[in-house]
Amino acid sequence: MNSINKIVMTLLFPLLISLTGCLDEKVKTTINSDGSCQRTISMKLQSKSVPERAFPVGSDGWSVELRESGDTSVPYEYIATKSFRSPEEFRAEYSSENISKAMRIDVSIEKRFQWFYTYIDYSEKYLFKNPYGHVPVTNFLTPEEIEQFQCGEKEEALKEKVDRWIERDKFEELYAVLVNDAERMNDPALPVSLLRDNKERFASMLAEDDSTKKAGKKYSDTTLTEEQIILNIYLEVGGKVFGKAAIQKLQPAAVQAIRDMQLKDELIKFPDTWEYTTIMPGLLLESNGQTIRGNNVTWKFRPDHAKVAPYVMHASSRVVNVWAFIVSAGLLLLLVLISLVSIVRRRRKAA
Amino acid sequence: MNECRKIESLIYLYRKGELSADESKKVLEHTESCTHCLEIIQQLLSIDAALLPLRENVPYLSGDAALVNKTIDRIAKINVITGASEKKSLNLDVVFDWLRPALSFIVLAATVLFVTQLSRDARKISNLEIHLRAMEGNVGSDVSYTNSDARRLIGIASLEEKKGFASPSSFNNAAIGLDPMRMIGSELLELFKKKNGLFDYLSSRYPNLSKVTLEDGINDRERKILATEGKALMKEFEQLLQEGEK
Repeated sequence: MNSINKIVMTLLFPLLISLTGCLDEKVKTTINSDGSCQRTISMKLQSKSVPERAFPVGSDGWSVELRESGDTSVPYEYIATKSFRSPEEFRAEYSSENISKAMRIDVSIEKRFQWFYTYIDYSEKYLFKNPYGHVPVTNFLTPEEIEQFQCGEKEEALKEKVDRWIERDKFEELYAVLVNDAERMNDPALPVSLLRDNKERFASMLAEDDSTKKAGKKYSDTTLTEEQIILNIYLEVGGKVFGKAAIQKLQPAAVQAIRDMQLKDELIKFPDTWEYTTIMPGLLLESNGQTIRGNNVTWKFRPDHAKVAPYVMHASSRVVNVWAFIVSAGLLLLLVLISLVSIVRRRRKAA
Repeated sequence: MNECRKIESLIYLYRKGELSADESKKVLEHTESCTHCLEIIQQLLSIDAALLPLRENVPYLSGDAALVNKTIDRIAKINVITGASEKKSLNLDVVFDWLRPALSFIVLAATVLFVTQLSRDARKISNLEIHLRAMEGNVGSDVSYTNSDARRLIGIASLEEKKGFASPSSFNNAAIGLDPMRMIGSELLELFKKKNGLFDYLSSRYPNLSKVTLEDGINDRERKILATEGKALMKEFEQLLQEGEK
């Protein structure tokens, strides 16, 4: 997709555009061998207020500090810290549905006692609740490609496919509204079949047609609102496909659909990147982290990585139970002693 | 020796004439061939003979009732102590008989658990290392050295292009066989050798390229490999470099 088309599609179906600049959120979790943990969420901000798209942010019980970062472009740094006494407390923090309407976090820390070692399993899953959900992602990406995309492989090629999926999903939302409205009106001048038959043409014209480029270029430099620009593009491109009279009839429904979609898009605003660093206790055994330094595991991902499939971060480590080694050695010693004493006693008896 | 042990237990009864005819015969037959048992019989008989006069002069104690009672008490006490110690010894044996197998089982189970845990964890760590190598090779992951290596290679390619050795599409077949290709090839090989994680990743992605040797010049097959896999690798590096510059 060339750049101008991308601009048009971005205007028509606003993706993650933010006028507040880049928002990179860092989440650092230190897990202790007893299952307790401490989490610190930090992000650099342009102003003292935390943007709406910041997620997750500390709620009750978090000690929040807003300090100067020393960077003139992002002068403030938001730091929220909270200690969790148990894995249950940690899980409960994110179990609330109110954290985000479009993203859910499932977090778990499990302790598995196995005598010599205690195994600690950490898992955190980002589950995206798609407010559109008309087209499955698998129509655009294979399961292998989804995995590769989440790992950061073939980034550019796959990113384009993901963008196309998101755009198509939004197009389906808009188009369903138009079709419903045509059915409701039951107007012989605007038959439903006209919409059904020209669906793919309309979609491809929005994505590729020269007129869309022109329309996008014409309106992108004006002082019109985002909604007006989208509507104008819709009228211009739709007029070519369905005829001006037909598209005018559908205009109120289209306006409402665009507004509803803008409201839905408000729900799926997230930071540009998340960087999760988890410090595991003991020796690290398993992880799907991107970088590992000792027992520090780091994942860096964007919202679209979590949109295509649940983004799962996991790590396992083991902690040595010194007392178990001492007790085992004691038992072994006792066994040796008993065996020796028995042998001596038997010999004495025999004598 | 086992025969001697059996006979020894009979000898004491033999000397008192308390054995049956068969048993007495058995003892006599054994002592004919065993000097050790014969000596025991002789010693016992000589002791008996020595004690005989003493037994005949047994002191009259019936008048000293206190001494008799005292003696009976002491004998009774000795019997009690001996019985207790035997009982104690018996209890300890029972405890040991239970403890030994139980402890053996626990120690064995602990050993099996320990070995299983060690081998399983070693396998996990090995898988983790493989995962890390794969991640290090991925585009967009945190691999700082890949960018600098790519920069150097692209730098050589651009420099050679300026000199007019290579065409703008520097790795087209037309350019194969010119010195810049050898230079880039040697740089690539150095890169392959340099880092283990990167080597593994590149070897799996460009299996033929990792086998190219330049010491004896480049043959046609190697030229083709450099033109295909080498070109693909360079393209990937260019992409990485662009991303790094962003």
